[in-house]
Amino acid sequence: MSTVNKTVSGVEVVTISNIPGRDITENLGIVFGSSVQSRSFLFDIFATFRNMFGGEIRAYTKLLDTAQKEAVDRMARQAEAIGADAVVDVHFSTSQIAYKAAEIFAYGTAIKLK
Amino acid sequence: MEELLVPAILLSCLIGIAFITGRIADRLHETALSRDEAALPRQDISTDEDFPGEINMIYSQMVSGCVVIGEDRFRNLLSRLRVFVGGTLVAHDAAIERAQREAMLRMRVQAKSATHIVGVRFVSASLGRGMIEMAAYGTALFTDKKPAGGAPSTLPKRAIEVKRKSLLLELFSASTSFALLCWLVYTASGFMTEWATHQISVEDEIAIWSEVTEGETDWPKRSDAERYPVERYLRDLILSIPKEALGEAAAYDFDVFVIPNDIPNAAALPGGRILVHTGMLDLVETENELLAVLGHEIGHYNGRDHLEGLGRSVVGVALSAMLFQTDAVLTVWIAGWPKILADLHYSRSQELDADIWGLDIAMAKYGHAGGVSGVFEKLGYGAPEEGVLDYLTTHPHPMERVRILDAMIAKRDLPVKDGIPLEQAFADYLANIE
Repeated sequence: MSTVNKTVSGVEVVTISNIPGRDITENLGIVFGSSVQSRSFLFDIFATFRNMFGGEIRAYTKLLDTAQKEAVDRMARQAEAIGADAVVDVHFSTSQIAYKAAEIFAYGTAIKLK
Repeated sequence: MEELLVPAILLSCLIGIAFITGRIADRLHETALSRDEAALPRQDISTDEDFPGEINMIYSQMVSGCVVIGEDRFRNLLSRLRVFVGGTLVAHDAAIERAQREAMLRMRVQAKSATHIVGVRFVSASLGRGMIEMAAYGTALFTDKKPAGGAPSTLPKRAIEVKRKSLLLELFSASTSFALLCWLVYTASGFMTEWATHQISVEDEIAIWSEVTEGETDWPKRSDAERYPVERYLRDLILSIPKEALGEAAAYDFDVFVIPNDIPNAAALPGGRILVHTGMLDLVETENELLAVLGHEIGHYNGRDHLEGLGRSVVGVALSAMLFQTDAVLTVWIAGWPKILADLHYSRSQELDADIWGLDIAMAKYGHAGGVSGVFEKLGYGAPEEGVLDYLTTHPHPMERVRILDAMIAKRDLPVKDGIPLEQAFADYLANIE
């Protein structure tokens, strides 16, 4: 994943504190998006074996990737709803709500550009 | 079945109550959040770590706020089903978002007169599974200005309502996929155990079974003197069948146990032990009918059907343990099901195959097929009406078995003669052994 994402909603999402080459006119506050994903128990069994012998567990990599993208997407949709042009200074954090499920949330500052 | 019904009702009640109380709690929190957010002044909040240049600072202070929201039993069920089948867990979406808003609200309450809160971060802890924890922290900047009044700095409603499936819809979709997946696994485990049971030789089965039951069985190997005369008669009846008619089952050292029970039934246990209810002995009138019943049980040994039920229940228990490992009530309830499913006797095709074995064995012993279908006809009188339900249950209706057996006898053009009356056969046997 790159640090600059053009999301489905057209809001620019960056992990730095400004959009290079553009001026920020207004700070609209914090926007937030989260996603909890899981794979079926069949993948869980497979992953348990993989974990025993080493190597990348692709099923879980994909899971994490999906969760991350969805969290960013939801955050961007929220930003779009309040009329933002971009989300800057985005951070991620994780948590565990349910056993064998990945929870990721993304948050950043929604801004208007000149 | 009853032992599963009561916990099922209790669990449904608990989950039903949790659904109602959980939704009330959700609604109350939502309302309280919107009210409290509207009461706060407009502040410049950002995740940016940079210090805004154009302000006159008085002082700065770290502020933080956190919240833990419990999931209810209903959402717990939803997330468990969803984790099992895989996919997006929508059960907690709304709660996570409310947790974030609540944490930020509590952080802002600590610095009502600050104009800026910068460098805001969120973290989540893991107090317990299902609980939704959120902590927010940041640096509040107090300047020579007051925070701007008027416009409340809350998110508009359309920004909060991200596309979200309703919880009941999620319950439907998750439980449907769950049921489908369980059915698939159950069927697959049937094929797997069928393959596996045919890899185990009869000798191994007897050896394993005697290991398993050692110490707790009250059925040690018996001598003829220890058997009741009826049990001796039944066993010798099996021994009198020509060996070549027994197929693989010839390797078993058969023993027959008569159980005092009025329900006409017989069962094949691992290791070659056949149980016959007294009700079955009362029902049959000729030795030929009795042999058809015993032949049917021997047919189950040939199909290794008795092991298959065991294999399925092992798979079922393993699955339920994987799924509900942390929940005592639910585990006990779920773990009961595989046993019930395994106890559903054998599948229709297994029963019908065993019937054919019974027919072949009777042919080998007596040279005619008299009485083979007769016993099922008698069983049929006590059985409920034939109907649609028969196709749903795994056990074929006795009348259907009679039809299939009679059709088989007609097709092979087998001779049908009168059987030997059971009382006379037994009297002859007793006279012989004395």
